[in-house]
Amino acid sequence: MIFSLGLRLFHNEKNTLDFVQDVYLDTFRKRDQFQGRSRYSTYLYSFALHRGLNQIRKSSKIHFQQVEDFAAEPEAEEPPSAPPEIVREELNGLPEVYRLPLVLHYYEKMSVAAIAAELEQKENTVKSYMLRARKILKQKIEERMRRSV
Amino acid sequence: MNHHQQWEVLIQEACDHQVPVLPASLKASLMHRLFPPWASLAFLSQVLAGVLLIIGPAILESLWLSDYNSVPLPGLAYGAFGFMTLLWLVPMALRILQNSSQDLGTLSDNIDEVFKLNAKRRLKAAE
Repeated sequence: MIFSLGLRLFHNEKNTLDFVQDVYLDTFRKRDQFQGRSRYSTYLYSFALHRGLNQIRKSSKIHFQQVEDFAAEPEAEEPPSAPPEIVREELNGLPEVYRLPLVLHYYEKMSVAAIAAELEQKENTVKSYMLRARKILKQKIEERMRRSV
Repeated sequence: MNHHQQWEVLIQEACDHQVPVLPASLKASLMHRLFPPWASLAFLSQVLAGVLLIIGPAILESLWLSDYNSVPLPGLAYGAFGFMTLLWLVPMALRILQNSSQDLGTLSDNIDEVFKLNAKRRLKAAE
């Protein structure tokens, strides 16, 4: 569970192994903080997610640029149709600022507001990056599918 | 399904595709350690003996080779069956217990080793 989360956040096995080790060490050190209000697995997962995002935010790998405000959240365009392995490769090929909001929103089911809070960004910045990420990903997948035909 | 849900499915399938699975070789090795060939053979023999024990008296009786009421076949046979069970069950249980205690020791050693290696690697990277 934590290893899979690490792979989604870092998409790099070496960093993921470090992440898993740090998460287990930290949760062991902070074991008194668990108050038993949820299942331990839920606590561990949210702890790991928060820790992973904190680590990404602190690293210089991800850098958002502030954008103009959106009046309303733009409607998602139709997604491309492609096998999962191609989508995965193209998704992992995206810069972190584009890949991460997509994974957090569509896989981890985090709201835009929650992502913005975790990454210390404005909601509209996250929305803008998600919009651009979908466009770039769709374009890349379609190009790849055209080449393979 | 709206576009948002379609994107959700697309990203979820792509991410799930990335989740590593337990390598087949490792799975086979784990199974081999839990159930070594001799234990599997003993277990199969036991099952076979059980089947014979159930159908044997009926066959013997139908062939008039044994008088089911006068020959103490069931008591002896069930006793032998129980003894056979102990012959493989006890060593196998001991083996599993011994393995698990060894594995826990090895596991903790491995964890220590990984922590030490990681610490060294991080120190090197920091330099």
